[in-house]
Amino acid sequence: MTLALVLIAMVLGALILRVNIAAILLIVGAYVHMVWGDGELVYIIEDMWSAIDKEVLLSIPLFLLCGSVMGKGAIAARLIRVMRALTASIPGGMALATVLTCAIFAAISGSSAVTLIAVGSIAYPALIKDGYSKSFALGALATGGTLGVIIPPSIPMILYGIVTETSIVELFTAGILPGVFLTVLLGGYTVIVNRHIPRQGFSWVELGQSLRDGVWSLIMPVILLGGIYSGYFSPTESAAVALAYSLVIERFVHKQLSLRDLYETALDTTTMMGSLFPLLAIALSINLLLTSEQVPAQLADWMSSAVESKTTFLLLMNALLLIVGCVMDMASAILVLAPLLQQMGDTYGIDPIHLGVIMTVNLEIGLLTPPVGLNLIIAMTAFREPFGVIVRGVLPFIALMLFGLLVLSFVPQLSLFLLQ
Amino acid sequence: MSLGGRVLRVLFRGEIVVAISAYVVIFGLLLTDVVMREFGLGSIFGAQRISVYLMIVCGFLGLGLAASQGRHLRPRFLDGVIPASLSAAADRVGSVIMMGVFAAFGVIAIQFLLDAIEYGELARTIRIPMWTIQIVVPYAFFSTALRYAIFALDPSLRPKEALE
Repeated sequence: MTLALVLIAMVLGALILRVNIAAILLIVGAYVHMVWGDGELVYIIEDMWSAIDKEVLLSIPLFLLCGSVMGKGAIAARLIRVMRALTASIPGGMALATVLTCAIFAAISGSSAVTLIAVGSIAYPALIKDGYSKSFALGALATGGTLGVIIPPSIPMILYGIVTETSIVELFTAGILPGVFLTVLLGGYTVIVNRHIPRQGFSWVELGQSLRDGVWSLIMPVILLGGIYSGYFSPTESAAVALAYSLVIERFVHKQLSLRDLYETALDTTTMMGSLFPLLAIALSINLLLTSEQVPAQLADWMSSAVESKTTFLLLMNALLLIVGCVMDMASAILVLAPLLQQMGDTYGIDPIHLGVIMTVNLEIGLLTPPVGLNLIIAMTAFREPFGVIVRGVLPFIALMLFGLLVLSFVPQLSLFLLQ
Repeated sequence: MSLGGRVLRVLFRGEIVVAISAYVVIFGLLLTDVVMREFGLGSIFGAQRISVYLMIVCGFLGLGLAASQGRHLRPRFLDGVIPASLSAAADRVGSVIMMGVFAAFGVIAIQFLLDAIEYGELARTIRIPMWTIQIVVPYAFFSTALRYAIFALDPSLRPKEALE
Protein backbone atom coordinates (compact mmCIF):
# COMPACT_ATOMS: atom_id res chain seq x y z
CA MET A 1 0.00 0.00 0.00
CA THR A 2 2.80 2.40 0.97
CA LEU A 3 4.64 1.59 -2.26
CA ALA A 4 1.52 2.35 -4.29
CA LEU A 5 1.08 5.67 -2.47
CA VAL A 6 4.72 6.54 -3.22
CA LEU A 7 4.03 5.87 -6.90
CA ILE A 8 0.93 8.09 -6.87
CA ALA A 9 2.89 10.85 -5.10
CA MET A 10 5.65 10.60 -7.71
CA VAL A 11 3.16 10.88 -10.56
CA LEU A 12 1.39 13.86 -8.97
CA GLY A 13 4.73 15.54 -8.29
CA ALA A 14 5.81 15.03 -11.90
CA LEU A 15 2.48 16.43 -13.17
CA ILE A 16 2.87 19.51 -10.97
CA LEU A 17 6.37 20.01 -12.40
CA ARG A 18 4.95 19.84 -15.95
CA VAL A 19 6.69 16.60 -16.86
CA ASN A 20 5.24 15.14 -20.06
CA ILE A 21 3.22 11.93 -20.09
CA ALA A 22 5.90 9.93 -21.95
CA ALA A 23 8.44 10.61 -19.19
CA ILE A 24 5.83 9.95 -16.50
CA LEU A 25 4.97 6.58 -18.03
CA LEU A 26 8.67 5.72 -18.21
CA ILE A 27 8.99 6.55 -14.50
CA VAL A 28 5.89 4.47 -13.71
CA GLY A 29 7.17 1.57 -15.84
CA ALA A 30 10.57 1.63 -14.15
CA TYR A 31 9.02 1.85 -10.67
CA VAL A 32 6.57 -0.99 -11.33
CA HIS A 33 9.38 -3.18 -12.70
CA MET A 34 11.65 -2.37 -9.75
CA VAL A 35 9.05 -2.78 -7.02
CA TRP A 36 6.66 -5.46 -8.28
CA GLY A 37 8.54 -6.95 -11.23
CA ASP A 38 11.97 -8.52 -11.48
CA GLY A 39 13.89 -5.25 -11.67
CA GLU A 40 15.14 -5.86 -15.23
CA LEU A 41 14.52 -2.45 -16.78
CA VAL A 42 15.74 -3.57 -20.18
CA TYR A 43 12.48 -5.53 -20.43
CA ILE A 44 10.66 -2.19 -20.66
CA ILE A 45 12.55 -1.36 -23.84
CA GLU A 46 12.06 -4.88 -25.21
CA ASP A 47 8.32 -4.65 -24.55
CA MET A 48 8.22 -1.16 -26.07
CA TRP A 49 9.87 -2.50 -29.20
CA SER A 50 7.54 -5.45 -29.58
CA ALA A 51 4.56 -3.19 -28.87
CA ILE A 52 5.22 -1.00 -31.89
CA ASP A 53 6.63 -3.68 -34.18
CA LYS A 54 3.19 -4.17 -35.77
CA GLU A 55 1.97 -3.69 -39.33
CA VAL A 56 -1.38 -2.31 -38.24
CA LEU A 57 0.29 0.73 -36.69
CA LEU A 58 1.33 1.87 -40.15
CA SER A 59 -2.18 3.14 -40.69
CA ILE A 60 -1.82 5.79 -37.97
CA PRO A 61 0.86 8.02 -39.55
CA LEU A 62 -0.80 7.59 -42.94
CA PHE A 63 -4.23 8.66 -41.63
CA LEU A 64 -2.59 11.53 -39.76
CA LEU A 65 -0.80 12.63 -42.94
CA CYS A 66 -4.01 12.30 -44.91
CA GLY A 67 -5.94 14.41 -42.38
CA SER A 68 -3.20 16.99 -42.32
CA VAL A 69 -3.16 17.25 -46.13
CA MET A 70 -6.93 17.70 -46.20
CA GLY A 71 -6.76 20.27 -43.42
CA LYS A 72 -4.55 22.41 -45.64
CA GLY A 73 -6.48 21.84 -48.82
CA ALA A 74 -9.91 22.67 -50.22
CA ILE A 75 -11.82 19.46 -49.51
CA ALA A 76 -13.60 20.96 -46.46
CA ALA A 77 -14.63 24.11 -48.33
CA ARG A 78 -16.13 22.11 -51.17
CA LEU A 79 -17.96 19.75 -48.83
CA ILE A 80 -19.48 22.72 -47.00
CA ARG A 81 -20.68 24.19 -50.29
CA VAL A 82 -22.43 20.94 -51.22
CA MET A 83 -24.03 20.58 -47.78
CA ARG A 84 -25.08 24.22 -47.78
CA ALA A 85 -26.76 23.83 -51.16
CA LEU A 86 -28.53 20.68 -49.96
CA THR A 87 -29.81 22.22 -46.71
CA ALA A 88 -30.56 25.75 -47.98
CA SER A 89 -34.31 25.35 -47.72
CA ILE A 90 -34.25 24.05 -44.14
CA PRO A 91 -34.46 26.49 -41.21
CA GLY A 92 -31.02 26.56 -39.58
CA GLY A 93 -29.69 25.13 -42.82
CA MET A 94 -26.17 26.48 -42.46
CA ALA A 95 -25.85 25.02 -38.96
CA LEU A 96 -27.11 21.68 -40.24
CA ALA A 97 -24.70 21.92 -43.17
CA THR A 98 -21.88 22.48 -40.68
CA VAL A 99 -22.74 19.38 -38.65
CA LEU A 100 -23.14 17.25 -41.78
CA THR A 101 -19.85 18.52 -43.20
CA CYS A 102 -18.12 17.69 -39.92
CA ALA A 103 -19.56 14.16 -40.11
CA ILE A 104 -18.45 13.59 -43.71
CA PHE A 105 -15.06 15.21 -43.17
CA ALA A 106 -14.68 13.03 -40.07
CA ALA A 107 -15.25 10.01 -42.27
CA ILE A 108 -12.12 10.99 -44.16
CA SER A 109 -9.76 12.54 -41.66
CA GLY A 110 -10.01 10.36 -38.55
CA SER A 111 -9.09 13.31 -36.35
CA SER A 112 -11.19 15.65 -34.29
CA ALA A 113 -8.72 18.54 -34.33
CA VAL A 114 -8.33 18.45 -38.12
CA THR A 115 -12.10 18.31 -38.61
CA LEU A 116 -12.67 21.28 -36.30
CA ILE A 117 -9.98 23.46 -37.86
CA ALA A 118 -10.65 22.54 -41.50
CA VAL A 119 -14.44 22.88 -41.35
CA GLY A 120 -14.50 25.61 -38.72
CA SER A 121 -12.21 28.01 -40.55
CA ILE A 122 -14.79 28.21 -43.35
CA ALA A 123 -18.06 27.54 -41.54
CA TYR A 124 -17.56 29.84 -38.54
CA PRO A 125 -17.51 33.15 -40.47
CA ALA A 126 -20.41 31.89 -42.61
CA LEU A 127 -22.49 31.00 -39.54
CA ILE A 128 -21.88 34.42 -37.95
CA LYS A 129 -22.74 36.14 -41.25
CA ASP A 130 -26.01 34.19 -41.44
CA GLY A 131 -27.06 35.44 -38.00
CA TYR A 132 -26.23 32.53 -35.72
CA SER A 133 -25.03 33.47 -32.25
CA LYS A 134 -21.32 33.19 -31.55
CA SER A 135 -21.80 30.76 -28.70
CA PHE A 136 -24.05 28.49 -30.81
CA ALA A 137 -21.65 28.54 -33.78
CA LEU A 138 -18.66 27.75 -31.58
CA GLY A 139 -20.57 25.01 -29.74
CA ALA A 140 -21.75 23.41 -32.99
CA LEU A 141 -18.27 23.45 -34.49
CA ALA A 142 -16.43 22.23 -31.40
CA THR A 143 -18.97 19.41 -31.00
CA GLY A 144 -19.19 18.62 -34.70
CA GLY A 145 -15.40 18.28 -34.72
CA THR A 146 -15.60 15.52 -32.13
CA LEU A 147 -17.48 13.34 -34.63
CA GLY A 148 -14.03 12.74 -36.13
CA VAL A 149 -13.18 10.26 -33.40
CA ILE A 150 -16.29 8.09 -33.57
CA ILE A 151 -17.00 8.06 -37.31
CA PRO A 152 -14.46 5.72 -38.89
CA PRO A 153 -11.63 5.83 -39.71
CA SER A 154 -10.81 6.82 -36.18
CA ILE A 155 -7.32 6.99 -34.72
CA PRO A 156 -8.54 6.47 -31.12
CA MET A 157 -10.31 3.32 -32.31
CA ILE A 158 -7.09 2.09 -33.92
CA LEU A 159 -5.31 2.65 -30.61
CA TYR A 160 -8.09 0.85 -28.72
CA GLY A 161 -7.91 -2.04 -31.19
CA ILE A 162 -4.16 -2.35 -30.78
CA VAL A 163 -4.09 -2.12 -27.01
CA THR A 164 -6.98 -4.57 -26.48
CA GLU A 165 -6.17 -6.80 -29.46
CA THR A 166 -9.61 -6.17 -30.94
CA SER A 167 -10.30 -6.14 -34.69
CA ILE A 168 -9.88 -2.60 -36.02
CA VAL A 169 -12.15 -3.28 -39.00
CA GLU A 170 -14.89 -4.45 -36.61
CA LEU A 171 -14.38 -1.36 -34.47
CA PHE A 172 -14.67 0.84 -37.55
CA THR A 173 -17.84 -0.99 -38.59
CA ALA A 174 -19.26 -0.64 -35.08
CA GLY A 175 -18.59 3.10 -35.17
CA ILE A 176 -20.79 3.77 -38.20
CA LEU A 177 -24.28 3.68 -36.64
CA PRO A 178 -23.24 5.48 -33.43
CA GLY A 179 -21.62 8.14 -35.65
CA VAL A 180 -24.80 8.49 -37.71
CA PHE A 181 -26.91 8.51 -34.53
CA LEU A 182 -24.85 11.31 -32.95
CA THR A 183 -24.90 13.26 -36.23
CA VAL A 184 -28.71 13.01 -36.38
CA LEU A 185 -28.90 14.06 -32.73
CA LEU A 186 -26.71 17.11 -33.28
CA GLY A 187 -28.32 17.94 -36.63
CA GLY A 188 -31.84 17.69 -35.18
CA TYR A 189 -30.90 19.98 -32.32
CA THR A 190 -29.35 22.60 -34.63
CA VAL A 191 -32.50 22.69 -36.76
CA ILE A 192 -34.84 22.98 -33.76
CA VAL A 193 -32.97 25.76 -31.96
CA ASN A 194 -32.41 27.72 -35.17
CA ARG A 195 -35.91 27.45 -36.64
CA HIS A 196 -36.19 31.27 -36.42
CA ILE A 197 -33.21 31.80 -38.76
CA PRO A 198 -34.57 32.72 -42.22
CA ARG A 199 -34.18 29.87 -44.68
CA GLN A 200 -32.27 30.39 -47.93
CA GLY A 201 -33.78 29.60 -51.27
CA PHE A 202 -32.99 26.19 -52.69
CA SER A 203 -31.23 26.34 -56.04
CA TRP A 204 -30.75 23.39 -58.35
CA VAL A 205 -28.10 25.37 -60.21
CA GLU A 206 -26.08 25.97 -57.04
CA LEU A 207 -26.49 22.35 -56.01
CA GLY A 208 -25.31 21.18 -59.44
CA GLN A 209 -22.30 23.49 -59.41
CA SER A 210 -21.33 22.58 -55.85
CA LEU A 211 -21.65 18.88 -56.66
CA ARG A 212 -19.49 19.32 -59.73
CA ASP A 213 -16.82 21.10 -57.69
CA GLY A 214 -17.16 18.82 -54.68
CA VAL A 215 -17.47 15.44 -56.36
CA TRP A 216 -13.80 14.57 -55.69
CA SER A 217 -14.25 15.32 -52.01
CA LEU A 218 -17.50 13.34 -51.80
CA ILE A 219 -15.96 10.29 -53.45
CA MET A 220 -13.19 10.10 -50.88
CA PRO A 221 -15.09 8.50 -47.97
CA VAL A 222 -16.55 6.00 -50.45
CA ILE A 223 -13.08 4.92 -51.58
CA LEU A 224 -11.65 4.92 -48.09
CA LEU A 225 -14.39 3.19 -46.14
CA GLY A 226 -15.71 1.15 -49.06
CA GLY A 227 -12.23 -0.28 -49.50
CA ILE A 228 -11.98 -1.28 -45.85
CA TYR A 229 -15.49 -2.70 -45.40
CA SER A 230 -15.46 -4.63 -48.64
CA GLY A 231 -12.22 -6.24 -47.52
CA TYR A 232 -10.56 -4.89 -50.65
CA PHE A 233 -7.96 -2.99 -48.63
CA SER A 234 -6.60 -3.46 -45.14
CA PRO A 235 -6.87 -0.32 -42.96
CA THR A 236 -3.18 0.36 -43.68
CA GLU A 237 -3.55 0.01 -47.45
CA SER A 238 -6.70 2.08 -47.31
CA ALA A 239 -4.80 4.83 -45.48
CA ALA A 240 -2.08 4.78 -48.16
CA VAL A 241 -4.66 4.95 -50.96
CA ALA A 242 -6.54 7.77 -49.19
CA LEU A 243 -3.32 9.71 -48.74
CA ALA A 244 -2.41 9.28 -52.41
CA TYR A 245 -5.91 10.34 -53.42
CA SER A 246 -5.92 13.42 -51.21
CA LEU A 247 -2.45 14.46 -52.41
CA VAL A 248 -3.46 14.15 -56.06
CA ILE A 249 -6.79 15.93 -55.56
CA GLU A 250 -5.44 18.78 -53.45
CA ARG A 251 -2.30 19.31 -55.50
CA PHE A 252 -3.52 18.78 -59.05
CA VAL A 253 -7.31 19.16 -59.03
CA HIS A 254 -8.00 21.72 -56.31
CA LYS A 255 -4.49 23.21 -56.75
CA GLN A 256 -4.43 24.14 -53.05
CA LEU A 257 -1.36 22.35 -51.78
CA SER A 258 2.07 23.93 -52.14
CA LEU A 259 5.36 22.13 -51.52
CA ARG A 260 5.70 24.23 -48.37
CA ASP A 261 2.32 22.88 -47.21
CA LEU A 262 3.55 19.36 -47.88
CA TYR A 263 6.64 19.93 -45.77
CA GLU A 264 4.52 21.34 -42.96
CA THR A 265 2.11 18.40 -43.06
CA ALA A 266 5.01 15.95 -42.89
CA LEU A 267 6.59 17.86 -40.00
CA ASP A 268 3.26 18.06 -38.22
CA THR A 269 2.68 14.32 -38.60
CA THR A 270 6.20 13.42 -37.52
CA THR A 271 5.99 15.40 -34.29
CA MET A 272 2.47 14.12 -33.62
CA MET A 273 3.75 10.57 -34.07
CA GLY A 274 6.65 11.45 -31.82
CA SER A 275 4.26 12.28 -29.03
CA LEU A 276 2.00 9.31 -29.74
CA PHE A 277 4.36 6.42 -30.48
CA PRO A 278 6.54 6.47 -27.37
CA LEU A 279 3.35 6.78 -25.37
CA LEU A 280 1.85 3.79 -27.12
CA ALA A 281 5.05 1.78 -26.68
CA ILE A 282 5.49 2.59 -22.98
CA ALA A 283 1.81 2.12 -22.14
CA LEU A 284 1.76 -1.27 -23.87
CA SER A 285 4.95 -2.23 -22.07
CA ILE A 286 3.38 -1.40 -18.69
CA ASN A 287 0.20 -3.24 -19.68
CA LEU A 288 2.23 -6.36 -20.48
CA LEU A 289 3.78 -6.26 -17.03
CA LEU A 290 0.43 -5.63 -15.33
CA THR A 291 -1.11 -8.52 -17.26
CA SER A 292 1.74 -10.86 -16.33
CA GLU A 293 1.16 -9.88 -12.70
CA GLN A 294 -2.61 -10.52 -13.26
CA VAL A 295 -3.52 -7.00 -12.14
CA PRO A 296 -6.39 -6.51 -14.65
CA ALA A 297 -7.86 -9.91 -13.71
CA GLN A 298 -7.65 -9.07 -9.99
CA LEU A 299 -9.23 -5.69 -10.59
CA ALA A 300 -12.00 -7.33 -12.60
CA ASP A 301 -12.61 -9.84 -9.80
CA TRP A 302 -12.70 -7.07 -7.23
CA MET A 303 -15.07 -5.02 -9.35
CA SER A 304 -17.45 -7.92 -9.96
CA SER A 305 -17.60 -8.66 -6.23
CA ALA A 306 -18.18 -4.99 -5.38
CA VAL A 307 -20.63 -4.22 -8.20
CA GLU A 308 -23.07 -6.92 -9.17
CA SER A 309 -25.20 -5.21 -11.76
CA LYS A 310 -24.07 -4.61 -15.32
CA THR A 311 -26.10 -1.39 -15.39
CA THR A 312 -24.26 -0.04 -12.35
CA PHE A 313 -20.93 -1.02 -13.87
CA LEU A 314 -21.76 0.76 -17.12
CA LEU A 315 -22.81 3.90 -15.23
CA LEU A 316 -19.68 3.80 -13.07
CA MET A 317 -17.47 3.24 -16.07
CA ASN A 318 -19.08 6.14 -17.93
CA ALA A 319 -18.62 8.40 -14.88
CA LEU A 320 -14.97 7.37 -14.57
CA LEU A 321 -14.28 7.95 -18.27
CA LEU A 322 -16.04 11.32 -18.25
CA ILE A 323 -13.87 12.43 -15.33
CA VAL A 324 -10.74 11.05 -17.00
CA GLY A 325 -11.75 12.82 -20.22
CA CYS A 326 -11.78 16.11 -18.31
CA VAL A 327 -8.16 15.82 -17.23
CA MET A 328 -6.42 13.53 -19.69
CA ASP A 329 -5.95 13.41 -23.44
CA MET A 330 -7.70 10.73 -25.41
CA ALA A 331 -4.70 8.66 -26.50
CA SER A 332 -3.25 8.43 -23.00
CA ALA A 333 -6.62 7.52 -21.51
CA ILE A 334 -7.21 4.75 -24.05
CA LEU A 335 -3.72 3.31 -23.74
CA VAL A 336 -3.79 3.29 -19.96
CA LEU A 337 -7.39 2.33 -19.23
CA ALA A 338 -8.67 0.26 -22.16
CA PRO A 339 -7.02 -3.07 -21.22
CA LEU A 340 -8.20 -2.76 -17.62
CA LEU A 341 -11.76 -1.80 -18.55
CA GLN A 342 -11.96 -4.46 -21.22
CA GLN A 343 -11.09 -7.15 -18.70
CA MET A 344 -13.69 -5.77 -16.27
CA GLY A 345 -16.27 -5.45 -19.05
CA ASP A 346 -15.71 -9.11 -19.94
CA THR A 347 -16.90 -10.19 -16.49
CA TYR A 348 -20.20 -8.36 -17.10
CA GLY A 349 -20.57 -9.79 -20.59
CA ILE A 350 -19.90 -6.51 -22.38
CA ASP A 351 -18.66 -7.03 -25.92
CA PRO A 352 -15.15 -5.52 -26.29
CA ILE A 353 -16.22 -3.83 -29.54
CA HIS A 354 -19.20 -2.23 -27.77
CA LEU A 355 -16.90 -1.21 -24.93
CA GLY A 356 -14.59 0.41 -27.47
CA VAL A 357 -17.47 2.48 -28.83
CA ILE A 358 -18.57 3.51 -25.31
CA MET A 359 -15.02 4.46 -24.40
CA THR A 360 -14.53 6.46 -27.59
CA VAL A 361 -17.79 8.39 -27.11
CA ASN A 362 -16.92 9.12 -23.47
CA LEU A 363 -13.52 10.47 -24.40
CA GLU A 364 -15.11 12.28 -27.34
CA ILE A 365 -17.16 14.21 -24.77
CA GLY A 366 -13.87 14.79 -22.91
CA LEU A 367 -12.76 16.87 -25.90
CA LEU A 368 -15.49 19.33 -24.91
CA THR A 369 -15.17 19.42 -21.15
CA PRO A 370 -13.08 21.99 -19.27
CA PRO A 371 -10.43 22.40 -18.08
CA VAL A 372 -8.46 20.60 -20.78
CA GLY A 373 -11.01 19.81 -23.49
CA LEU A 374 -8.85 19.85 -26.62
CA ASN A 375 -11.59 21.13 -28.92
CA LEU A 376 -12.31 24.03 -26.55
CA ILE A 377 -8.68 25.07 -26.64
CA ILE A 378 -8.43 24.65 -30.40
CA ALA A 379 -11.65 26.64 -30.93
CA MET A 380 -10.34 29.37 -28.62
CA THR A 381 -7.09 29.60 -30.57
CA ALA A 382 -8.45 29.12 -34.08
CA PHE A 383 -11.44 31.48 -33.77
CA ARG A 384 -9.88 33.91 -31.24
CA GLU A 385 -12.90 33.81 -28.95
CA PRO A 386 -12.97 33.84 -25.14
CA PHE A 387 -12.88 30.47 -23.39
CA GLY A 388 -16.10 31.30 -21.47
CA VAL A 389 -18.10 31.92 -24.64
CA ILE A 390 -16.96 28.60 -26.09
CA VAL A 391 -17.74 26.71 -22.89
CA ARG A 392 -21.23 28.25 -22.74
CA GLY A 393 -21.71 27.32 -26.38
CA VAL A 394 -20.82 23.65 -25.92
CA LEU A 395 -22.90 23.07 -22.76
CA PRO A 396 -26.18 22.16 -24.54
CA PHE A 397 -24.21 20.00 -26.94
CA ILE A 398 -22.54 18.19 -24.04
CA ALA A 399 -26.01 17.45 -22.63
CA LEU A 400 -26.99 16.03 -26.03
CA MET A 401 -23.85 13.96 -26.24
CA LEU A 402 -24.45 12.60 -22.73
CA PHE A 403 -27.92 11.52 -23.82
CA GLY A 404 -26.34 9.89 -26.87
CA LEU A 405 -23.77 8.18 -24.66
CA LEU A 406 -26.45 6.68 -22.44
CA VAL A 407 -28.35 5.37 -25.46
CA LEU A 408 -25.17 3.89 -26.94
CA SER A 409 -24.19 2.35 -23.60
CA PHE A 410 -27.51 0.64 -22.98
CA VAL A 411 -28.43 -0.23 -26.57
CA PRO A 412 -25.44 -2.32 -27.69
CA GLN A 413 -27.30 -3.29 -30.88
CA LEU A 414 -26.64 0.21 -32.19
CA SER A 415 -22.93 -0.54 -32.17
CA LEU A 416 -23.06 -4.24 -32.95
CA PHE A 417 -25.89 -4.44 -35.48
CA LEU A 418 -23.70 -4.01 -38.56
CA LEU A 419 -21.32 -6.68 -37.27
CA GLN A 420 -24.10 -9.25 -37.26
CA MET B 1 22.70 32.12 -31.79
CA SER B 2 23.81 30.37 -28.59
CA LEU B 3 25.55 27.00 -28.63
CA GLY B 4 22.44 25.38 -27.20
CA GLY B 5 20.30 26.90 -29.94
CA ARG B 6 22.71 25.68 -32.61
CA VAL B 7 22.72 22.14 -31.19
CA LEU B 8 18.92 22.11 -31.15
CA ARG B 9 18.80 23.28 -34.74
CA VAL B 10 21.30 20.68 -35.97
CA LEU B 11 19.45 17.90 -34.14
CA PHE B 12 16.11 19.04 -35.49
CA ARG B 13 17.28 19.38 -39.10
CA GLY B 14 19.05 16.04 -39.14
CA GLU B 15 16.19 14.15 -37.57
CA ILE B 16 13.42 15.77 -39.58
CA VAL B 17 15.20 15.00 -42.87
CA VAL B 18 15.52 11.33 -41.89
CA ALA B 19 11.93 11.15 -40.60
CA ILE B 20 10.32 12.82 -43.61
CA SER B 21 12.40 10.75 -46.02
CA ALA B 22 11.32 7.62 -44.16
CA TYR B 23 7.65 8.60 -44.43
CA VAL B 24 8.06 9.21 -48.15
CA VAL B 25 9.58 5.73 -48.55
CA ILE B 26 6.82 4.14 -46.41
CA PHE B 27 4.12 5.82 -48.46
CA GLY B 28 5.82 4.93 -51.73
CA LEU B 29 6.35 1.30 -50.75
CA LEU B 30 2.81 0.72 -49.53
CA LEU B 31 1.18 2.46 -52.44
CA THR B 32 3.34 0.74 -55.04
CA ASP B 33 2.65 -2.57 -53.31
CA VAL B 34 -1.13 -2.03 -53.55
CA VAL B 35 -0.93 -0.86 -57.18
CA MET B 36 1.27 -3.80 -58.20
CA ARG B 37 -1.09 -6.24 -56.50
CA GLU B 38 -4.13 -4.72 -58.21
CA PHE B 39 -2.47 -5.01 -61.63
CA GLY B 40 -1.40 -8.58 -60.97
CA LEU B 41 2.29 -7.73 -60.84
CA GLY B 42 2.97 -9.46 -57.53
CA SER B 43 4.20 -7.40 -54.64
CA ILE B 44 7.35 -5.75 -53.34
CA PHE B 45 9.40 -8.11 -51.18
CA GLY B 46 9.16 -7.09 -47.54
CA ALA B 47 7.30 -3.84 -48.29
CA GLN B 48 5.21 -3.95 -45.11
CA ARG B 49 8.11 -5.08 -42.91
CA ILE B 50 10.47 -2.41 -44.22
CA SER B 51 7.69 0.13 -43.72
CA VAL B 52 7.16 -1.00 -40.12
CA TYR B 53 10.87 -0.67 -39.31
CA LEU B 54 11.00 2.76 -40.94
CA MET B 55 7.91 3.76 -38.97
CA ILE B 56 9.58 2.65 -35.75
CA VAL B 57 12.63 4.76 -36.64
CA CYS B 58 10.32 7.72 -37.33
CA GLY B 59 8.44 7.10 -34.09
CA PHE B 60 11.59 7.13 -31.98
CA LEU B 61 13.04 10.14 -33.81
CA GLY B 62 9.71 11.79 -33.16
CA LEU B 63 10.41 11.55 -29.43
CA GLY B 64 13.06 14.25 -29.76
CA LEU B 65 11.27 16.12 -32.53
CA ALA B 66 8.12 16.36 -30.42
CA ALA B 67 10.22 17.68 -27.53
CA SER B 68 11.76 20.31 -29.77
CA GLN B 69 8.32 21.42 -30.96
CA GLY B 70 6.57 21.29 -27.58
CA ARG B 71 4.29 18.55 -28.89
CA HIS B 72 4.56 16.00 -26.10
CA LEU B 73 1.23 15.21 -24.50
CA ARG B 74 0.93 16.48 -20.95
CA PRO B 75 -2.07 16.52 -18.61
CA ARG B 76 -2.35 20.14 -17.48
CA PHE B 77 -4.94 19.96 -14.72
CA LEU B 78 -2.34 20.45 -11.97
CA ASP B 79 -0.59 23.38 -13.66
CA GLY B 80 -2.21 25.85 -11.29
CA VAL B 81 -0.79 24.20 -8.16
CA ILE B 82 2.48 26.09 -8.45
CA PRO B 83 2.06 29.86 -8.22
CA ALA B 84 2.78 31.85 -11.36
CA SER B 85 5.83 33.42 -9.74
CA LEU B 86 7.45 29.97 -9.43
CA SER B 87 6.22 28.71 -12.78
CA ALA B 88 9.54 29.24 -14.59
CA ALA B 89 11.43 27.41 -11.84
CA ALA B 90 8.92 24.52 -12.03
CA ASP B 91 9.43 24.28 -15.78
CA ARG B 92 13.16 24.16 -15.23
CA VAL B 93 12.95 21.42 -12.60
CA GLY B 94 10.60 19.55 -14.94
CA SER B 95 13.19 19.81 -17.72
CA VAL B 96 15.87 18.41 -15.40
CA ILE B 97 13.63 15.48 -14.43
CA MET B 98 12.84 14.71 -18.07
CA MET B 99 16.51 14.94 -18.97
CA GLY B 100 17.28 12.44 -16.19
CA VAL B 101 14.52 10.04 -17.20
CA PHE B 102 15.39 10.02 -20.90
CA ALA B 103 19.14 9.79 -20.25
CA ALA B 104 18.58 6.86 -17.87
CA PHE B 105 16.50 5.08 -20.50
CA GLY B 106 19.20 5.87 -23.05
CA VAL B 107 21.63 3.90 -20.91
CA ILE B 108 19.12 1.04 -20.57
CA ALA B 109 18.58 1.13 -24.34
CA ILE B 110 22.31 0.61 -24.87
CA GLN B 111 21.97 -2.65 -22.92
CA PHE B 112 19.03 -3.54 -25.17
CA LEU B 113 21.20 -2.86 -28.22
CA LEU B 114 24.14 -4.86 -26.87
CA ASP B 115 21.80 -7.81 -26.22
CA ALA B 116 20.61 -7.68 -29.84
CA ILE B 117 24.23 -7.67 -31.06
CA GLU B 118 25.22 -10.49 -28.70
CA TYR B 119 22.33 -12.74 -29.73
CA GLY B 120 22.80 -11.91 -33.42
CA GLU B 121 19.12 -11.06 -33.85
CA LEU B 122 17.93 -10.55 -37.42
CA ALA B 123 15.08 -8.36 -38.62
CA ARG B 124 12.02 -10.34 -39.70
CA THR B 125 11.66 -10.95 -43.45
CA ILE B 126 14.49 -8.64 -44.54
CA ARG B 127 17.08 -10.51 -42.43
CA ILE B 128 19.44 -7.65 -41.65
CA PRO B 129 21.06 -7.37 -38.19
CA MET B 130 18.42 -6.02 -35.84
CA TRP B 131 20.80 -3.71 -34.05
CA THR B 132 21.22 -1.60 -37.19
CA ILE B 133 17.58 -0.59 -36.75
CA GLN B 134 17.46 -0.67 -32.96
CA ILE B 135 20.32 1.78 -32.68
CA VAL B 136 17.65 4.45 -33.07
CA VAL B 137 16.34 3.66 -29.56
CA PRO B 138 19.36 4.82 -27.48
CA TYR B 139 19.92 7.63 -29.97
CA ALA B 140 16.35 8.88 -29.54
CA PHE B 141 16.50 8.77 -25.74
CA PHE B 142 19.87 10.56 -25.59
CA SER B 143 18.87 13.14 -28.18
CA THR B 144 15.70 13.89 -26.19
CA ALA B 145 17.68 14.04 -22.93
CA LEU B 146 20.14 16.47 -24.54
CA ARG B 147 17.27 18.70 -25.61
CA TYR B 148 15.83 18.81 -22.10
CA ALA B 149 19.32 19.49 -20.71
CA ILE B 150 19.53 22.50 -23.04
CA PHE B 151 16.02 23.64 -22.03
CA ALA B 152 17.05 23.37 -18.36
CA LEU B 153 20.21 25.40 -18.94
CA ASP B 154 18.50 27.99 -21.12
CA PRO B 155 14.71 27.99 -20.58
CA SER B 156 14.27 30.60 -23.32
CA LEU B 157 15.02 27.82 -25.83
CA ARG B 158 12.20 25.61 -24.51
CA PRO B 159 9.38 25.74 -27.07
CA LYS B 160 5.94 26.94 -26.21
CA GLU B 161 3.70 23.92 -25.81
CA ALA B 162 1.47 23.11 -28.74
CA LEU B 163 -2.19 22.29 -28.22
CA GLU B 164 -1.86 18.58 -28.80
